[in-house]
Amino acid sequence: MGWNLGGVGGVVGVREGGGIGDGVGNGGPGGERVAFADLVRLHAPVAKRAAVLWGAGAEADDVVQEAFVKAFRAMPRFRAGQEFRPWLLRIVINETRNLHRGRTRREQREQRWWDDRTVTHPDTEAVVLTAVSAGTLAGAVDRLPEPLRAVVICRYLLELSEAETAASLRVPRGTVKSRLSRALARLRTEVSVDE
Amino acid sequence: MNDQQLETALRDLGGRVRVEPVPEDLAERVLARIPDRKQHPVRRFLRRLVIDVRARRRLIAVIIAALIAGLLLASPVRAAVIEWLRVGGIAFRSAPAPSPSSAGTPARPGGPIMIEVADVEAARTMIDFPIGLPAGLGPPTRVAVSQDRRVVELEFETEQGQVLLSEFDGSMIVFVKRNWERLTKVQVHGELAVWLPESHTISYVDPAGVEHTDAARRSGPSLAFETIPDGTGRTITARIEGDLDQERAVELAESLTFP
Repeated sequence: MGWNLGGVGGVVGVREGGGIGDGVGNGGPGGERVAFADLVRLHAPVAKRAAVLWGAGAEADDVVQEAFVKAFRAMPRFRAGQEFRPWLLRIVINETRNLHRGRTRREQREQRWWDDRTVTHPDTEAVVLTAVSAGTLAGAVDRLPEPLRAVVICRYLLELSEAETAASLRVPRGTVKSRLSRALARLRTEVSVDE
Repeated sequence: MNDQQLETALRDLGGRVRVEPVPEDLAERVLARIPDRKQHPVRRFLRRLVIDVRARRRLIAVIIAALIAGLLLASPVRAAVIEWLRVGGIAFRSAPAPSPSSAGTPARPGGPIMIEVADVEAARTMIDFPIGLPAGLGPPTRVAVSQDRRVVELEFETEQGQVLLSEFDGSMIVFVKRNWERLTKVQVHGELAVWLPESHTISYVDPAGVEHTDAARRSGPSLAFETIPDGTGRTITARIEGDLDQERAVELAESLTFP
């Protein structure tokens, strides 16, 4: 694979003065683009996972590509010291939501992130330590109201930290906490009814 | 079912969701859609500001010089890359090293000058950070300290071949790894570490910030990680290189003990 896209600049001193700032630089023409390509390669897998979990289905790759293009354009608004991953996920989530607006309910159902294969995979079924089947749980998660579903997906299915979840959904940490406990309470009732 | 069981079940569910890998050329596709420097907002601003082409070129030259001097704020892209592509004193760049003819500080050939010493104890008297040893490899067959006393190298002979362990204080960038094809984020004692499964170039960054690249020097598969020896409060950056797989490299990294 050719990594050298758009040329590489001279190194502007690689001294790291503590924290972000005067770091490894690609000062020359295209350096910014090359650096951004690194970001794409690093964060694309989690971005795609988020898109799939939010229901992008077969369009997940398009969503991810679009999100990175938007992220690059919005880069001037990205503050140093901020974390890139939640900032990117925020864009991915918005992109996927925009996708849903143009869809019928039936199409949306077809784009769900779990299927029978996820539910009854024979090899993994044995290692589940819990009393609830994956299918039951996935269905229950899917039926949660969007704000609650969003925190559950971020926190458990994407395994983000509480701070990252708050930043990705742009809500205060306290809100993440309260929505999470409401979501867990609801899921608990749902799966025990189904059992 | 209590909350903890439910949380476990939800994490397990996340692990079952199969997501196809992203297209290999995703980065290229994204780059093809983002503007290059011709439409860069700064240049657009300059164009409006200075109409005369020669004056504008002079101004651009001044700004580039200012950039090189580090007088302008780091770009947000660069800040984000650094945030994620650095493990202690090791930086990761997928791009090749800059050519010596490019502007700014030229890359110079050669890595740190390593001086062989008798054993680990001798090395400990020469440097001011603790040296950790991995379990199960026995004593190192070769110990070397860099002339600038920033880096320690330990070599071990194993049945699978040679294992090289480098350790250094990671508060400044000491190595830059380039030309890698795949980069895997892994965890060593729960902290971010980076596994490069294929060979790549490794450049040494001297205390003045000048990058030294030896085209002939390539690193094999290697794991870069950080470790904080108990009671020292200092963070040591280390890299393990050798004919290892990811699991074995992580295992060795986690086995590191300090005197």
